[in-house]
Amino acid sequence: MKVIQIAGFLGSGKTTTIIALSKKISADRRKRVAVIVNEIGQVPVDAKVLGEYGLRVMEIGQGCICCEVASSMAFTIKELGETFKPELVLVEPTGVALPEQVKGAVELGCKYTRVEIGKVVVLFDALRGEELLAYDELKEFVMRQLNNAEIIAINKIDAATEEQLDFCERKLANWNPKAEIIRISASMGIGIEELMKKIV
Amino acid sequence: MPKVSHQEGKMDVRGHGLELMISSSRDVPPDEVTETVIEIMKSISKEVMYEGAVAIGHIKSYLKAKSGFVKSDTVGIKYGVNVYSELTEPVRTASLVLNIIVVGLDLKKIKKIELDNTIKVLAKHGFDATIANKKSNHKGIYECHAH
Repeated sequence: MKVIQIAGFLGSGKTTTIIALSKKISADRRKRVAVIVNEIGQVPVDAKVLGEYGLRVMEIGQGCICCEVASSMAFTIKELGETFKPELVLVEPTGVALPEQVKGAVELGCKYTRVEIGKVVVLFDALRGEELLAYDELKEFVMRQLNNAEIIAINKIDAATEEQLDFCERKLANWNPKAEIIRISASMGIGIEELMKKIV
Repeated sequence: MPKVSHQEGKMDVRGHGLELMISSSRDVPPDEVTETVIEIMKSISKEVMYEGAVAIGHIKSYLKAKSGFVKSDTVGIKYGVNVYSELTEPVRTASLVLNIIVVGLDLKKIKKIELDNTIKVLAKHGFDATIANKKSNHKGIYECHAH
């Protein structure tokens, strides 16, 4: 079972990307995909939306998987491994989670079942690049998320201008030169095949 | 696992979730239901920024009716509202879930803006609303108030 996290700041398009990726992976690779979604709050929206697409969704509430409920993540992975037996698990952390911490939580799950930890994908909203970077506190946090990325997917490219995309690419390459940077539009399905090939 | 938490810094993110049961005495066409959801999102987005929020983390909604669902999200009024509907029939009753995460605004204000604007827009389109569930357990990223 390969576990891949699709992280990113609030509003970066994680749920839409997971829906698009899951459909593509199921159709093209015939793999059994499950989703673990962690939302802040006890009135979840993402899990309900993902469920509408026929995905096997495991929901973790009561806190953030990157710190407070890391052990829940391990047990959820164990349960998935024993019941649904997915070949691929896509993890949607909260928009305020730190990817390296989520990775740590996934590693806890390795105690209970055989898990291959996949690449860390962090999404970046092309439209909000300048807004997010205009405030020091936001910038600091977003940069910390991006520094953990192995793949940075600049999302919403269908709605962004070339200037916005260039701005994002320059900044991102500067902050995390080791990460692969790709352009996607999850809502339009652009770049999803490329992303799939990089992570599956 | 090293216990480095995202509560170390100073960024203040707060959020609130709200679940409503809504009903109307008339059959509300699918297009009008979708329009209602969009109006709610815009109305909340506008007011949180007016009240001094630094940024909108996200505002998401999910309306579930007998014939299908409407999902919607926004990260701010200037970015528009994304909406997707699979409603096929007019709606009389539905559940509506909202999830709001805002940077730099008092939780009390967020709750009030969320509820007032939602009720106001629903009423405009002839819907009555009952709170099914109300939680406020979101916390700040760095000043972890509830998260």
